[in-house]
Amino acid sequence: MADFDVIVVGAGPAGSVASYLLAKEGHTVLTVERGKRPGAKNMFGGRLYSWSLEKVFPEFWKEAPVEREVTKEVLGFLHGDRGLEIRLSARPRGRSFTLLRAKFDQWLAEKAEDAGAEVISGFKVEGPLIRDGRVVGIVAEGDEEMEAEVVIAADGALSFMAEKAGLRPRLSKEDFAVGAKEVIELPKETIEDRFGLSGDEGAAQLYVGDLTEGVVGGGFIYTNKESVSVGVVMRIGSLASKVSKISTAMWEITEKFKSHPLIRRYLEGGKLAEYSAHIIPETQFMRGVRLYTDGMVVVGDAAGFCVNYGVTVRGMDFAIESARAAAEAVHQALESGDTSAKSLSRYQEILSSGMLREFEAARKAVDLMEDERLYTSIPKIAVESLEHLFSVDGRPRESLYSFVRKEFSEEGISLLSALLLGWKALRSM
Amino acid sequence: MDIAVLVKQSLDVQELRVDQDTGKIYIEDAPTKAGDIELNATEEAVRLKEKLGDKAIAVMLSTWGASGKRQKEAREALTRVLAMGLDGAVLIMGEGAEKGDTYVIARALAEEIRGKFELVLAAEGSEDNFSGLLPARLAAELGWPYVAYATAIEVEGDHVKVTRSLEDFEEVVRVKLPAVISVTQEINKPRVPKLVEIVKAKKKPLDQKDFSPPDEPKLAIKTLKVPKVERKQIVIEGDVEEVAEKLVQALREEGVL
Ligand SMILES: Cc1cc2nc3c(=O)[nH]c(=O)nc-3n(C[C@H](O)[C@H](O)[C@H](O)COP(=O)(O)OP(=O)(O)OC[C@H]3O[C@@H](n4cnc5c(N)ncnc54)[C@H](O)[C@@H]3O)c2cc1C
Repeated sequence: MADFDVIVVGAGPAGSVASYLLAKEGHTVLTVERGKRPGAKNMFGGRLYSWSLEKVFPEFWKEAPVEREVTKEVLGFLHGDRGLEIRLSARPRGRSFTLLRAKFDQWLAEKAEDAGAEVISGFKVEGPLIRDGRVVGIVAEGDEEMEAEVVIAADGALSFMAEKAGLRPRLSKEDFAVGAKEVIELPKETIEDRFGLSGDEGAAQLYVGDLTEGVVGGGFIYTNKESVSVGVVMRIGSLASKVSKISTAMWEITEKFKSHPLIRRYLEGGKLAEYSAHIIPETQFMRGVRLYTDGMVVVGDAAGFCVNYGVTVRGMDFAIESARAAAEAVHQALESGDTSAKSLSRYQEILSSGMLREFEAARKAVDLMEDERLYTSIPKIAVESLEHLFSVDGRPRESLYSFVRKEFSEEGISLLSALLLGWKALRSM
Repeated sequence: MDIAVLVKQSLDVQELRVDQDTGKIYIEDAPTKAGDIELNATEEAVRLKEKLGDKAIAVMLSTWGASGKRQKEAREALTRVLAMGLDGAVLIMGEGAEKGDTYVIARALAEEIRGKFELVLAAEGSEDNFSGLLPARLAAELGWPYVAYATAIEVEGDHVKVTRSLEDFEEVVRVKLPAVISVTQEINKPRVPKLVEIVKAKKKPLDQKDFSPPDEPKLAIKTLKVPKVERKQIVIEGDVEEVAEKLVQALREEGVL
């Protein structure tokens, strides 16, 4: 008999949700996390769309350590030291919350523990334990073997579990993007003043422009209760060809973003509390991933359920939803006593009739956001056109229309392709 | 002969955050853990126990109050030492324990240990405070002999032979049990528990008791601040030779050279 019904590798959102649901069904669950504590090593930009977690914990925000509910959306264009911000103040359908991973991941892991899962931190899993072509457990640090009826790989973007089980090819530099982020502490009142918030309201602000020097990507600011998360996301593929050391480049671009006059005023007087960087799997690469094999399923980032929109990344909600689907399939497989690939294929079926449709749509949107001009020419034209519109110096002024036309032709964009680009951008949002 | 290992719930000093401007230390935000030298004491207890066939028990008196977070951390710290091979653990924690000084803690620990154990192993100093006072104080309370800075321990009947490493020489002493001994990091190399041992450790007996200090502490911490290190912030510019010369000159002026 196996040591556990289920071994879950990784206690990020995907791993903890799967652990929670399966422990709640009465299965014996071991969750192994490499970090000192769940969440200790994890980072993300800052916003969780709540739809999927709500299915597991209705109204979770009343209990979970979320920071603020996003009610203000800002889209910004930066060019040189000038900038343009478009501010939407609304409560869109579907709530979303800013949060900090160290606290949030720990909360989720505690939920799993309370449901009966054994969560063990500070232990690295080396890979799946494979016998006769079937995953029968894990190999932990120090070559220790531990058996399970089913293994759930929730080990994040780099997933050696999936790779070693032959479910996905090896990642190369071009297959991922990187994100860097700083948490800057500011008094609650200062944040509410500067971002125009009250109570638990929060802001999500995204910026594109010349700060990334033509690389697909941009900057973000998310407000927390008493801090803001500020950072940048960039394609490594395009970055690798331009710079020698990615980590230094990330740091420099973060600094540049933070010191832009438009951004600086949000952060002034703040105290740096932490700096972190992380990789983001690119969707193209992830198209080749298989989700299950005999005795194992892959969930969350490990399965590539993460969408990089260029400036923002969305993956927490997909990680949670995929874990929920996997838990359902694994539960059924355990009940039937058949944990073969065939039985676990139920996981993909559940996803196909639900999340995968939303995920594919999000992926399509990303393809449209690939156009580098969205990150270079468009911000420039937007900023300069408005600058032109508001410039009064007593001299006769060129009409806005002809100014914009000139701008487009300077950038080598025909009016037709400008329209197309605008259409694409609109459709992808 | 049962062995008690004193395990302090120490601050994880690597995760302490400090406000550079005010010197304020964010103690409440920092996690706690079993100190590193406590792992050496645990390892030694497990080795002695393997030879003697008696029980070795972790005893933790937490001075962090009784919040859920600190309780969880205390249990995790104990799981860590239990996984190394101890047989059980006693966790004493409660509201009002934060004020406990060495005097109060030693008296409470003596209460727990008297009559149940014959050998107490402790770290030469804790990871966060490193005052190294507690084992001596405890021995005094118990009226037992105390041997500090052990680098080797051997049991010889109802005696123990302890090698102590001192600055210029090594001393070997023999004491009659019961006794309190503090160990150094050189005494052994603590084993790293396996996953399966951690899983099993969670099922070992952990006896949690409430601690309400019966005595008034004699010592109270008034403020805790990081010493401010003023930097001179001198920037030397020029070509290599000039810079080298000015640097040497500056170092001379400061009396460094
Ligand atoms: C810069 C950046 C910004 C982002 N912004 C957002 C955002 O605003 N909103 C959003 O929804 N998503 C965002 N994401 C994506 C989001 O972070 C991920 O999609 C999400 O964390 C995936 O969850 P997961 O549980 O699958 O993986 P992870 O959160 O990566 O968790 C994996 C866990 O497995 C552990 N682990 C890994 N290997 C091992 C091993 N060998 N043994 C044991 N444990 C192991 C890790 O320590 C980790 O705890 C962002 C990502 C980045 C990088």
